[in-house]
Amino acid sequence: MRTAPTATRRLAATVVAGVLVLSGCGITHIHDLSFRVDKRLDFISPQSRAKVHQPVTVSWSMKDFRVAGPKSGEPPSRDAGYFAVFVDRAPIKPDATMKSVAGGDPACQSDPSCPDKSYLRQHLVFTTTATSIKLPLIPDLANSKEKYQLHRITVVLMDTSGHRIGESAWELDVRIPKASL
Amino acid sequence: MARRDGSAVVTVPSGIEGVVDLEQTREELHESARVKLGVTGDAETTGFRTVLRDNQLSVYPIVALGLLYISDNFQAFAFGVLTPEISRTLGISIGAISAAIGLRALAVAAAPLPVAALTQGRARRALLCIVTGFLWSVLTLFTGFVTSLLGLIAILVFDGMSTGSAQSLHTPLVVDSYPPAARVRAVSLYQAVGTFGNILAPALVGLLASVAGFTWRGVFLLLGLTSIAMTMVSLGLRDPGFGKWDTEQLRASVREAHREEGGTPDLAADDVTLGFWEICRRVMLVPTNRRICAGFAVLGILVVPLLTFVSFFLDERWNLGPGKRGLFFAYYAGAGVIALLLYGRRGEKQFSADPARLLRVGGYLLGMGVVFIAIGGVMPWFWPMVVCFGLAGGCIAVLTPALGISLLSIVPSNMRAHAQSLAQMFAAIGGTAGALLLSGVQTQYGVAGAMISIAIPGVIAAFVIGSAGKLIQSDLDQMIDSVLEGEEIRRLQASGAHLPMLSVRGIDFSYGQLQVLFDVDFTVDDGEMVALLGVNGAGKSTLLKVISGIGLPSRGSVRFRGQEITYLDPERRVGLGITQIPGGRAVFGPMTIVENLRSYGYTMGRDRTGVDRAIETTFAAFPRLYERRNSLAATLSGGEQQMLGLSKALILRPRLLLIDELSLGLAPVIVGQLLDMVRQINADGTAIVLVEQSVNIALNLVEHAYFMEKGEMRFDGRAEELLAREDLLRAVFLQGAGAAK
Repeated sequence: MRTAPTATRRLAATVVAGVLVLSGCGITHIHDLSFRVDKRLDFISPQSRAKVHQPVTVSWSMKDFRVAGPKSGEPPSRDAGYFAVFVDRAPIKPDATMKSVAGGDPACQSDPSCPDKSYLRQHLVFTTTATSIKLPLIPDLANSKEKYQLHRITVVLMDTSGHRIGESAWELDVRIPKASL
Repeated sequence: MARRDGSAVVTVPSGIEGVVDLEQTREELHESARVKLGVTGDAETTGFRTVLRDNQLSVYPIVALGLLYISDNFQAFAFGVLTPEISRTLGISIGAISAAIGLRALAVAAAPLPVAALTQGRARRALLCIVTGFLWSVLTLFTGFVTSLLGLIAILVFDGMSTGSAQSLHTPLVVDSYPPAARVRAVSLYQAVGTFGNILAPALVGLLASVAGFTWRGVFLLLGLTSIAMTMVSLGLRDPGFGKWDTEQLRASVREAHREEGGTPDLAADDVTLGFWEICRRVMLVPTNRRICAGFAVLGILVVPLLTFVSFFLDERWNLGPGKRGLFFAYYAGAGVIALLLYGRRGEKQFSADPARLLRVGGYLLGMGVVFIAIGGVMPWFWPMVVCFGLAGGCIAVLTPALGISLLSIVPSNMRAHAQSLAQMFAAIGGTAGALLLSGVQTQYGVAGAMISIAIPGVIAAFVIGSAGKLIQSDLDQMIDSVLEGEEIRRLQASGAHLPMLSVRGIDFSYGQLQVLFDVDFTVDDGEMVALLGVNGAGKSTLLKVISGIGLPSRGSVRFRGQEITYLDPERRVGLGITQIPGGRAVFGPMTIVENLRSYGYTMGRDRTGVDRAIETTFAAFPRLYERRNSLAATLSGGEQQMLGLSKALILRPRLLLIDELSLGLAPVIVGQLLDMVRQINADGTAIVLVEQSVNIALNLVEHAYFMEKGEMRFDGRAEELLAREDLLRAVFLQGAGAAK
């Protein structure tokens, strides 16, 4: 004879199901998730964890991706677009636009022209259609006393409508002498 | 009536010969019980394989639990390695992911105790280990599909909660799966398998992420599937039952001593089975446990943040990238595996010769470990630094089995999961404090300064753990006594022998560091009225507190109708029929008499009609209370307040009534009225313990008396014999005693 599940069991089952649903919402759009490493981008210079001096120029090579600027008129697709470079900060979420860089900044959010290039530069975010970029002065890391500081540069792909393409992201660490030295 | 002699006391028992029999058997069995628990007194051990073969055991439980241990670490290691990739894929800052990982750490710290609570009634640890193993495997797999911070937090928190089983159940399950003669080796082997996972897990993560070319999603997916496969191996795991190889063996030895076949019926009733908090309190009352938990807390300061700071140290001081750091940690874990494999037999010998040695050596090893860490932190040469950390890893790894066996050997088998969980909680608290403390030190003095400062809590922990050695022998004896006594009582009850209603044995009690009761024995039979006498500060009221549960002893046992109630909550003792009327006008002053009486009834959860009837009975017995029924208790005279206090007995109808200083400060006429009522309550079948400073009052009422002095029971015998003991009843105290006679 089957007995009715107790309230505790029902609660536990609901919680577990809730967690799985909450965490597993990615399953509903599984084609957007990357399970294999995207090897289309390779950093050329500098080498990972190399000691470099400012201004730092980062260059890379890109395969199977057509470079097209945001004003190129090309319709948005996963195979064409430009690069966004984030220094010492997490990139924007997949499918997000640069508007999310200004998240939590009401002044910028109320301005339709914001964020512009200068706003992004202030927040150490850069966009380019080239396969290299010369980064302006990178500030010292907060609360770090190290002479050579480890800075993290992340490159992601953007489509022509300004949305981040997929989950692909490439990361390069470089060591830069503390600016105040 | 008379009973067992306490020190220089009296006549021999009537009706409680069983208790004397019990004491004799217990003493006879005590030595063999230590041997049964693996303490043979010499450093000889039987080979591990021989022990397994002789007992028809296998290493399967160790392997199954070891695999669960490894798979349990997958999630944590994967996050340790892949956090940057997760951050850049999801666009979530590393700080946010770190906060989510911090929440997981909180869940890990909080989960073991609730998991332990799930096993306290039934030995279903194996089942819980398997279920939670599947749960964390599925959660690991689902991590690969996470698309938001919220999902990540949910996964991490529930993963942390599911790992509670590994924290609280694995070691007790290993301990209960093997005989005491092989336990240190079994736990060391389990730890070695688990520690091997510390090499395997990051290596597997690294392999999948770099060589096989999987993103973090792919890595979690494959880890989840691997974890499910590993959990499948544990499907054959069965719970051996609580204390199969130790406490059950001790109980069997009692039965053998009386040449009885088979088991005695289990008379333990649900109403005296300890609840969750009662068990936790019971575990923490064992002095060695307190010391070991303190050691775990200080050790947590060292161990929990150690690898994080070593990682920073290797990065900044030696410029090692993630790959080389991973290799370094694999080497560190490998040193631990080798040390555990070498330690098992040696630790077994130490425990067998003297459990105290296990803890002392643990203290020395920890001391050596922190010295190696400090030397490694300032070492200017790379390879000597690596050697120093390897030696430190080896020293610290063996602490887990040394402390674990010590902790679990001195608590009843059904409380081992609680003991283990409490120790883990202390380590987690220490770890949190350590992380905060060392972050501050690192900011001020750099990572090398933090590495060296780790030595300070390490040395303190070494001292604390080593010092627990001097306590463990007596705590082990206490555990043995408790099991033997419990089995004897069960046997006597099953054979229909008469047992006293209340039996207090070998009670020690302290207020903080001040011990006020010393090895006190005290017995009350059904329907009996006894006097407990002594000067102020003798410990009479404290003994009543121990009986009623307001105070918990550090040693000894309290049994009521044969069942142990030493650690039962006071309100549950009221339910069993033990009621205390505290000294000093124990009434609720701001409440009326009727409200006071109702409050007594409320504690028994009686129906309103029953309470009303009991109140009417009280008013019939004390007409003065009826006259003032709507007056506040605070406005009553001293005598009236004592009447009100005494009426608690009329409402609750207890089996045992403890009355503290009934006559204090009252006029003789009032005292006379109250004593008449006490006689009446006793005549109705309630056993009474009357605590008095006034010898003449007490000896007028009772035939049997106890006399306490400076926390010790100095007299236990017939009341008139007490009057002959001038050495006890000094001049001042004797005033009026002759009249009483």
